[in-house]
Amino acid sequence: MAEVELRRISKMYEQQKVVNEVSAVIEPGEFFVLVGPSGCGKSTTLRMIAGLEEISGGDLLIGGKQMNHTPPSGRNISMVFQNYALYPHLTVKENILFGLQVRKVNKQEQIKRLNQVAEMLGIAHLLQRKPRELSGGQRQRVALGRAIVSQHPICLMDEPLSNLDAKLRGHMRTEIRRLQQELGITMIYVTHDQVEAMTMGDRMMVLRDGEVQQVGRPLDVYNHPANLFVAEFTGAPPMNTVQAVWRNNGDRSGVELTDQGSTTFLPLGSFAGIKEGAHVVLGVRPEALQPVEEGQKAPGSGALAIKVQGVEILGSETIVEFTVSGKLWKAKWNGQWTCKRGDILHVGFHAEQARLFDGNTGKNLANVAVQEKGEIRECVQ
Amino acid sequence: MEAQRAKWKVNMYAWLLLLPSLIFLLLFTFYPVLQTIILSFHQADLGSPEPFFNGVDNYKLMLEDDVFWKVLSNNIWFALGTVPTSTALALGMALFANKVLRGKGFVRTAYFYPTIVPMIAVANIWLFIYTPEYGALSHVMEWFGKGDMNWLGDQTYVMWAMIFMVIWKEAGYFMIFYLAGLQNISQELYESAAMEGASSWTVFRRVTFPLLMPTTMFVSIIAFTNSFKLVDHLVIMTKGGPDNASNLLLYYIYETAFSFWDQGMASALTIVMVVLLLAVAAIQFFSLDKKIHYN
Amino acid sequence: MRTVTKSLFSVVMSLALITGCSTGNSTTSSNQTSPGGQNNQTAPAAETKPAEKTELSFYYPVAVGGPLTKIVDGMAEEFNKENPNITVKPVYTGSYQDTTTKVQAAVQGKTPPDVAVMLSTELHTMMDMDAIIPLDDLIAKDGGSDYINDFFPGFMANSQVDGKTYSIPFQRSTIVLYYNKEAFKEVGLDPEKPPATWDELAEYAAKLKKDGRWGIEIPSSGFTYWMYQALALQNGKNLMSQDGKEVYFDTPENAEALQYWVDLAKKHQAMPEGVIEWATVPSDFLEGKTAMMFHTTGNLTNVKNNAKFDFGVAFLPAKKNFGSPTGGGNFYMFKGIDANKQEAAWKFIRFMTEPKRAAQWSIDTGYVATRNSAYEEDIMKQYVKDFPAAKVARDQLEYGHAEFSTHNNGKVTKVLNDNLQAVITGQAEPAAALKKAQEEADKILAPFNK
Repeated sequence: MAEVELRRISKMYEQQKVVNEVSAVIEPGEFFVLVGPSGCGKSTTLRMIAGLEEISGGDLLIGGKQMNHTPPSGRNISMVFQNYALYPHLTVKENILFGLQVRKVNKQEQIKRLNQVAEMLGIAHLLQRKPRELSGGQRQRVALGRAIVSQHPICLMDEPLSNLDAKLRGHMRTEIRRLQQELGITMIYVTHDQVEAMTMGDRMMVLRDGEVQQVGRPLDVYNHPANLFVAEFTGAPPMNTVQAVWRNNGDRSGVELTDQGSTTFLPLGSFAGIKEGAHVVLGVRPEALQPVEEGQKAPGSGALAIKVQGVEILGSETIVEFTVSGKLWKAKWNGQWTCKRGDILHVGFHAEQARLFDGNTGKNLANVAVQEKGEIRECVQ
Repeated sequence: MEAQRAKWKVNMYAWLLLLPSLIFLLLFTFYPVLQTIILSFHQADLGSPEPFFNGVDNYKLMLEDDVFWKVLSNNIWFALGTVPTSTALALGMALFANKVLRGKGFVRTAYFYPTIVPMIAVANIWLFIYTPEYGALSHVMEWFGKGDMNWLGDQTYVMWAMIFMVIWKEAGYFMIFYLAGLQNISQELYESAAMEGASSWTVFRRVTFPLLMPTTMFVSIIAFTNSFKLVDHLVIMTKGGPDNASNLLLYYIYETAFSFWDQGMASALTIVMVVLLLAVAAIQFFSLDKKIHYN
Repeated sequence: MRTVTKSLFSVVMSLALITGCSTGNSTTSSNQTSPGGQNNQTAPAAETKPAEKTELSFYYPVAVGGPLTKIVDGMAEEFNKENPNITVKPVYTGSYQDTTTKVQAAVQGKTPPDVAVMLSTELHTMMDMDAIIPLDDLIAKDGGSDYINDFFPGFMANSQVDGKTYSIPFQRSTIVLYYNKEAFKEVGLDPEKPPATWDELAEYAAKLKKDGRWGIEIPSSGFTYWMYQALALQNGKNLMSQDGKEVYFDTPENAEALQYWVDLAKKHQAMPEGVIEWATVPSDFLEGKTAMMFHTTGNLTNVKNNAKFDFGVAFLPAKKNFGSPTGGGNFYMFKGIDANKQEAAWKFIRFMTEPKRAAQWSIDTGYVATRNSAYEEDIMKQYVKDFPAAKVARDQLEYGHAEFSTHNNGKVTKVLNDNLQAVITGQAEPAAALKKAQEEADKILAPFNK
């Protein structure tokens, strides 16, 4: 079985812990994304799974078997490297068949698989070329082909799209996802790009400084970030945050923002367990901030009067920039809005779309209090 | 007009920058080569007070000269003996020096140090090593009951002795090139091969070795030319003897020029040697080059 | 790839430099002013004539160990002090071979040195290059043949062609037999009776041979012809004519001499087989790895200083007669220098070969003093008394002959060396090899016999 389980896996370099007790169970056929900024330990974790790095602590189980000391080739894993690791002196065909030849798969089987893969990836016409004669996207496909042809149930990918331009990257995202689903492979995918994590993964694990921040389905992570770091790491633009003070007042409880001496109170309804006067961080996703008429209030919350600092009209949507308590916020509105810098507008948000984080630890305080209210919509056929 | 002037200016600038090296090249390379070619068609020896044109006589005499054929065949054996072995040894040492984890610097230095020692010093060291009876090698050979082997005094052994010494001297130097070549091979390729479970022999045969081909090519050309260039040791160790058994083409040229004072013949021999080297380099270049992968 | 091309160029370069440049003009710096010479520059103000100051460049090689450059420079300095009008600038020019090369280059560049020490055997080569001048006029002006006749004839033999004298002996040597007296005692031989004949030599050598020690070593690398010449002289006559235009290799006597040499190793098993390295023979002797050796007197001081056992020096054993070739370097003067300089150079040569100086030079270096009168000097008498071995070489000079030297000497010598080595390494028979050497040498010498 192609289930991969990490049990409190750690990696030490000299005296430094670069991966600290990471645990996860990756189901067969799952697309699992390791995401985080550079240096967070995601690649190291992947390489420990691959067997290219020794595991300093914890256990790695593949198909229920402990694999800590099994050499890479014994782990039933294929891997796609960041720079593709194509042998520059071999043709595409030789590159793809390299592993099969090493494992002494019989010749007919080799050719059969090669043809299947070449067709699947649309690289049949490139088989006699050498890597240097290929474009970036083509090399990417060859690297994929090499992973697929091995027919290993588990595939590891280390930032495979980072060398491609934006357009091609979008295209390859879908393609990799399609292949993974078609072939039913267990995929463990490392990226620093939260968009890839959001769009490709069945589940994602957010890492920071070797520590797991959150594991979950992309939308759960997006909607209910476990802490301030995850909140600010996910989404484009990321979640807006601002320091605030909690005021307990029954149903009229809310946060008080201070901006150059003047205070604004935003009612958020009842949040259990927050002490009066506690320092919190208010977080609101850009798309949750909507324009309101002056005086009109968004249900359950207050409106903010803001001064427009910048506008980006992207065609289908418009991003408006302004400051709240000295922090730059962004609001994302559908359609094309022709605001100008200096315009005074009013924006508001639903109380249940506000997130509160502990002012000291950054932990999400409100996950308990808020129910999901139709945030995720079924795709109606 | 303007564009042409600008272009002319740029060209002029380029030529001016090239000029110093060009002058030196002309003065110290092309001019002497030309002189040598001209001289090779002259009789210019002790028997002729003024050099005079004698056509291809020098070349004809050369073909009749047993010593010439002897030194030429010696040199070919010398090249065959040193080039593949020192190249292979250099590769092996580089692979080892690259892999060794502790004392990397020490290993590299140990391998490289024969290169730093001047050939004259090396020759003196090995002269002692090869001394019968009490030389270092004799002590080793005593275990086999052969302590009195006269390595340099015997026509059959002397060439082997030279070949062995030169391999020792050269391999460390070539290792440096291989080390550089190894650094250029992406670690990912090895990891990828490890994922496939390729044995280290397979990795070497199918990945490392082919990717080092440019280095191998380079090293083998250097080694080959060196096998014709290195003669310092002969001056110290054998003077080409016994009976030319260790004599090499360049040393014979030296003898012809400075012992026989036959400038015409020495020039003709030089031309033969240069043509030979160029031809071999060209063959290596044009036939092998196509099969080599360059990044 | 660029590097490859570059290295190819450097091959071309290095080759071209060897041949191309040697015919070009190489300038030799000679700005080693001796401090003594400079001191004198202010002195001659009081002379009657405002004498032109004559500067002489003097090339000299060093071929044996020890601080010889210091000694030579010191002698030149002394000369400069004695002769305020002349400044000799000594230029150390490396080995004999290097010196010849430098002189040759300087001659072709029309800037020859005024005086130089070169191998006595370069005589014919230098004449062929038309580089040197006969010294007879200078000798005649300076008291005539008395001076010349004082030199040992064995040394002068290499200086004269067709009755003319071209060079003056300076640092000269010859071959002698060194033997280990303790080894002699060990095997029951009388340490005061070294072998005097070939038969005795073979017999003693065989007796002296034991595990880890050879009976005798005769070096056969580099100076093969010289050692062979000794054997040939002992069995008859010299290998070449005095004018250097003919060689006599393929005589039955010479074949016999070569056979004897080979037999010492093959038949008597008293000498190592194969070519024996020139430089290791003295260390073998000092190490006790051989009980006897043929070697140059130039090594006398070395052996004297380093032998940990009592050793003796003797004549080379005789067959028909005693015989040993001389060796070493002479003074030459070069064409194209003016009369003034010639006279100055002659003065310098006379100065350097004065009996007292020749004696001191011999004591300092181990070379044989070149003149009879040098042995009449007190210092020399004292030295010989303390170290009788020093006299053996001189006494043997009675049987001394010119060192092998012909026209196109380098090539003829190589032909002889190669063929001798072929015999010594067992690749050829003596008679056949000598015949081959004779044929080749005749061919080389043909242009000089027209």
